[in-house]
Amino acid sequence: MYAGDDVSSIVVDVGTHTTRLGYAGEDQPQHISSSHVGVIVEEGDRNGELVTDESRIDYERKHFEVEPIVNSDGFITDFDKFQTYLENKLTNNFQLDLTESPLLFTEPNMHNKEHRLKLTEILFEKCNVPCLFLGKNAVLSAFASGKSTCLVLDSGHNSTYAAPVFEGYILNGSTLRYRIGGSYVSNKLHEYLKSKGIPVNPGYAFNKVVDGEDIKVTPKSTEGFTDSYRDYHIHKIIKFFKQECALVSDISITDKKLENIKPYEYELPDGKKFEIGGERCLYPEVFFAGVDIINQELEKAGSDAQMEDDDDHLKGFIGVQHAITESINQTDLDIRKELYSNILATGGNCMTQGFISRLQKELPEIAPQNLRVKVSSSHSGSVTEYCASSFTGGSILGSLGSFQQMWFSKQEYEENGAIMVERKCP
Amino acid sequence: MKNDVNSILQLKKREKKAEAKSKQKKEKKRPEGVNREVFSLTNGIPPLMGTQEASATIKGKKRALNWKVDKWVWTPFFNPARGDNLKLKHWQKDKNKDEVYSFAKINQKIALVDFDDEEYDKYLKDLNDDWNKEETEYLWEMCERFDLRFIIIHDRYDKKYQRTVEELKDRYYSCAKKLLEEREQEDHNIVKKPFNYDYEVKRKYYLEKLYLRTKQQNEKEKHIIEYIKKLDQKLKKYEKEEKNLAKILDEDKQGNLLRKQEDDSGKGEKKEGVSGAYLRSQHIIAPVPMSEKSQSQMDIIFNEMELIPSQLKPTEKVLELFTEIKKEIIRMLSLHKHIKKRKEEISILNDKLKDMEDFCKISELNKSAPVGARSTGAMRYPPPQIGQDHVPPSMSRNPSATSERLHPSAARQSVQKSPNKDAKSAKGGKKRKAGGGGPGSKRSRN
Repeated sequence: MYAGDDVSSIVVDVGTHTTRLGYAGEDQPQHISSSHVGVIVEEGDRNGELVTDESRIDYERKHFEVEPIVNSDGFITDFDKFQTYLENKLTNNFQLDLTESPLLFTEPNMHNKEHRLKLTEILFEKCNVPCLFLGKNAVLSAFASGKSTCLVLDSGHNSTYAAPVFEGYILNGSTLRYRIGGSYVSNKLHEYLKSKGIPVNPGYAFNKVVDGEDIKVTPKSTEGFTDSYRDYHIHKIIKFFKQECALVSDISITDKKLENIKPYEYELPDGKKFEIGGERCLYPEVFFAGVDIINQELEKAGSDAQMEDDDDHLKGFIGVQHAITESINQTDLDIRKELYSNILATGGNCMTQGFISRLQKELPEIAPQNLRVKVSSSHSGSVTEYCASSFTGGSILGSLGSFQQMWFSKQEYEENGAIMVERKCP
Repeated sequence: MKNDVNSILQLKKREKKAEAKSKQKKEKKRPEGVNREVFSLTNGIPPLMGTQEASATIKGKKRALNWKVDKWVWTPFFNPARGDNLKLKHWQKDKNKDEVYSFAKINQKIALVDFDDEEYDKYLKDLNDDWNKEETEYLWEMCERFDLRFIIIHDRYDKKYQRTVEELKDRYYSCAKKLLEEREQEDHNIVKKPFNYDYEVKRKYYLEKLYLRTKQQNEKEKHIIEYIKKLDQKLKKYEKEEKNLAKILDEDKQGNLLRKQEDDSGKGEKKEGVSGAYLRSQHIIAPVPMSEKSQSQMDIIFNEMELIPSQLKPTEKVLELFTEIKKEIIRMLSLHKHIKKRKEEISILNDKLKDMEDFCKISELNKSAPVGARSTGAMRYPPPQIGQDHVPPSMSRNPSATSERLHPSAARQSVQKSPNKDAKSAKGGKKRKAGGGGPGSKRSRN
């Protein structure tokens, strides 16, 4: 019954950090690139030209803006740019003819009707795809782990979601979103480094030359490079730093002394070495304690740096474990047992060292005592399984024989209008 | 002897000759169709079962090469499960190209109990004043879309109507039931087991309460259950002892404690239950084994009576009397034990009574005294501690029964009281006691 039928459909999984593209039926995306386009802003006839290839964005050049293709919630704001981005990618990397490829798009867990309608319009009118389907990230992540009912905790680059999925449908009324994610920790680490007098220099700002035994680093001029370009490159460096040093402590940080945490030695690309101590545990702790606790700890340590909590969506956030229970408490009582025993942690931010084990420890203490709580996550711990779980789910879905009747085709679009997408893609 | 040897040897020789002859006879000519090795194995005798024809895979390499490969084409296919004529492409065997798409049969829909306008006006309009036709039709549409998954229906239901899951279920199932009844399809599950709205609401209320229980409440509940178990066990033990006591006191029954085999008819003057021959002296010196303590007690009593068992002449009469004496001694000893126990219990109860009286006096005093005086030196009645060992017997039965117990004639009557009743009154007794805490204690009566 669950046999596959390959119609060579394409899965496009757009995120705030990376975009994953690939054929349905594959377990990993063939192409992963950052969700940015470059725009040439120099004088001349190339002004305004879009650059979509990641390697070309990384190329050192001046007068070049780097813009994200989705806003911080994961929704596309500039559809023209997005269309160029998508068409370039599919043509250059996959040599595809869009008029022949069914397209399966993923979308953020918060239901946004206008976005869906606009996207459907663009894809049918401008790109002329034969059929498409829009699937929510949480549902697809659930499918990737083989479950049709589970609570998906998706902690990504820009946001953290707690979304219950019941029998393959997401429960919109119980989905919670918090605008906190991996980027928050990256920013705080960057500020920390600045406050310690360690500026992070992007790759184009210095020259590294091997001189016999030594490595000589000479600074270069950064004139002419745009701010967005600089931020893009600095973020890349900070990202590697964060991936190596960020640690979620095994007990609440209020019970632990920051001074006792083992410091980590790191060397930036421009040769600067430094140590980071308790702060490597402090910033990731926001995912389990919320911003207020962190500020308290900072005050105790005598530091002036405070985390902002003026963002409304951050105000209610006291930890992912509370987000999970809050979300489940908004669902019907009968399904809570099943949700608690099937909690799925996905998203790149869950790869932080110690995140999953801390969650497995914290959650049973606030969950109902007579229910079994089980948190599952990627088994192998590979990057793809965390970051591209919605791609994998889309790939599974798009290659199922029983799914082929569910595509929203161009004919249906022409007969019923874009609003039909609400019915066909629940 | 030589002849014998010779004859044996000759016999052997003869056998050898016979073998050689038979061998010669057996050497047949190998027929042509049969392989040399096969012939040496089977000796020309055809096998019982015919061999199978060598299949193409073993022998016929040429035949395998003659197979035709199925041709696969990248072809558009029609999906009957779709409402439009979208034709996607996939790989399919050319020879199967006219087959119906195999996944179309998976497109199953749940059979809703549907209605038309007529039926609505006749039966459903007045079923529930809270619902109008428009909303009912909207609900049916949602039920069809989501295959009666009410939780999802409720999640996607238009917020302007403000319905709970139970209300949606109630409306659907009550309408369906009415329609099925009117159509005389009473065999359906919806009619046989109707949806009970009130029950569902209540059930969810209690379920929520269960989920909101804290860890402490759960621990408390566990403790209480354990405590009740312990109490039950103690009661059982106690009842057993009471039964034994009754047996001892009862003079009608010939409960011979020395004899291991007890007779069903309960008549006296029975032969000793030991089968076969035995030495009477053995019975006197080393009778039925009993515990060290009781043996030593018996020895003490024998000493007092100046009775030395080993000096008894083991005649029948003597043995009888000796057995009688032993019986009586054992009876006496157990009665002593029971009396001692009762005396202990009485003293404990007396102490408790004294405490309660004191407490009452003090609380009387405190009522008249100003508020601040309560905290000083007032003796509080301790709340029933979990793990308390003692089960006072007077609380487990009616007080009158205790006095009856001491008369052996009435003992049989009291034994016949049902143990369940006693267990219940034990718990009741515990409750009564807990209630006696008075105004000072803060226990909640559960």
